[in-house]
Amino acid sequence: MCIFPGPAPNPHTQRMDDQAYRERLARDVAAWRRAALISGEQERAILARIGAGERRAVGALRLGWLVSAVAVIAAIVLGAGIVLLFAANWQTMPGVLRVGALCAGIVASYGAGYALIERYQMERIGAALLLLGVILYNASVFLVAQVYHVPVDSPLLWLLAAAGTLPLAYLYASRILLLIAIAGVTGWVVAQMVAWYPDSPKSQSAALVVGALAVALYAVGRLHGDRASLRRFADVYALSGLLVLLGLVYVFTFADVWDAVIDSGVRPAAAPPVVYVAVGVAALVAAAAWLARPADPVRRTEAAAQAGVLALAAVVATWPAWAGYALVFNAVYFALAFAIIARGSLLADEPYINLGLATLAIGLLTRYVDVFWSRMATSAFFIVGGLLLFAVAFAVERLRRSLVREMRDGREPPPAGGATEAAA
Amino acid sequence: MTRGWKLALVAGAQIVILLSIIGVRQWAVWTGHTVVLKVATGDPRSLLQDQYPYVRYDISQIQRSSVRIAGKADGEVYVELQRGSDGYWHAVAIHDNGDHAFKGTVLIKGHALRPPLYPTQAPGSADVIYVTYGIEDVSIAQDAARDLPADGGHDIAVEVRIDRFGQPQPRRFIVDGRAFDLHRR
Repeated sequence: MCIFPGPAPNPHTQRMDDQAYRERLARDVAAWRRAALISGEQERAILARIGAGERRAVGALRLGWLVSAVAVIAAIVLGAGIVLLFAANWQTMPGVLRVGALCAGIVASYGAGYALIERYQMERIGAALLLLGVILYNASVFLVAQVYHVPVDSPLLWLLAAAGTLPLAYLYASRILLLIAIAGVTGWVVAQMVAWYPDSPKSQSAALVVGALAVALYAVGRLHGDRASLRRFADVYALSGLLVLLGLVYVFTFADVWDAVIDSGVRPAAAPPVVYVAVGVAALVAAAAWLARPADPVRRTEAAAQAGVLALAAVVATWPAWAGYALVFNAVYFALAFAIIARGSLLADEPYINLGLATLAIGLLTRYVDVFWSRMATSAFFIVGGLLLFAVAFAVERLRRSLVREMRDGREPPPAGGATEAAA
Repeated sequence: MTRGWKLALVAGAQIVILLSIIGVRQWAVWTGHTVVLKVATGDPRSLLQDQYPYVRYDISQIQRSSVRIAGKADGEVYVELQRGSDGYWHAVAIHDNGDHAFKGTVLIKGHALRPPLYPTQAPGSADVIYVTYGIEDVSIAQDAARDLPADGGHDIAVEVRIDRFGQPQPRRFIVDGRAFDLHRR
């Protein structure tokens, strides 16, 4: 079942994907060579196959990531400088000049980015200039609001920032722009909940709307993964959703949160309707992701996990005052960590394994501090904690290595002769 | 449509969004009602930019017994203002919707907080409703410091435009009848 209409393949995206693949392969074969998985001869043969047989061409390919990294940092630094310049001189500049200068900056960034990408085939620096334009646009939304007396904590500003960024992310297939847009949407939901329920028992249940958004983001990521032209966005949505969800569940693992909810005197079924609407919408999106591939066991498992999280959100929204939720959310947190590791391992997806392991480590460390801080002498707390951390780091590293090794073995069995000879 | 045109379209939409933020607020200024809200302090120097003031108005704390309350007076509320004989606008009612209880009044939108806010709050303060309007983060420009009186006991107010949705926009400070530029953090 196709959820998204199928746009024609974008030549720019295709070109970027090919180039990104070649550069990644050039880096990977160097790592395989260092690990003695392949011989020098095999490395050269692989590189020659992607048109990088010469040493200089290989060097050029491996430098590509550096250009990207430097250009993105340049865009962020330049954007921050321009924003600080405007913020510092905002009061002394005439209104028309302020807005005109910001608009001119945005247009100039896009124009330069367009010229570099389309005319000079300098995609990396051109993309960084588009990023600069987006940084200026997002900052302008808040600067203009500030000078025209719109409260800068207005949720609408987050939405306007995201609405202006999202089309550009799709137009240039830019993952970093998509990340900025997702951050804007998340900021909008959080700010809207804070604005609607600033200091009432409903505030806590309104946080569940953010959890529903996280589930929806994950499902949207999976739907993107089903379309070749949108696949590069799949993990941006999915990992963003996971990070938001893990952040929220992490907060709910603390008993103090639930003590405060109980102390507030909140009664059952007091949650605002928006919580149930958000849970319903997230359930629909998750169902759409499942129905897109109903026979896929991974998709089925994901759908079941999403349904479980949303059901828990509905239960918490309806009966919020229970001290046992801290224990439940601890179980959910660690279950999510293990599920992310398992998914990464099954699908040979290293970023998921690393995220799951980081989640696990943070969870264990938090519980250690939570339980032992008040029960041990300070010195003993740190000594035992340090030793435990070493043990955790050692265990996690062993687990990570074994998972990554399993992935590599399963994905790319070494050739019969060369690798063995090289290893020997 | 080529990608260049699409990019131009997105850039144009972004600029329209920025201009619309200005337009909506300017519309509120042009078509709104002007009210003058008395500030709780009498020391104008405490409102200078370098003091990082958080301005408290007379209508920031409303005695339940002094107004008509229609609804819960909790969360989002509309405070009905009426011009007093002193020239300042005072709260006469609190609604949880946009209804008027009196003629010739103006509604300002705010957020009411449930007392007690702190365990140590003074007895009897439960009769007070605390309301914020989103116009508390204003200050007097530092340049005006030399023109401000150095002592306390002055009449200080903020002139505010309120649009038909109850959204306020502060315009300027008025100290003893004299206008001073207003800045927002």
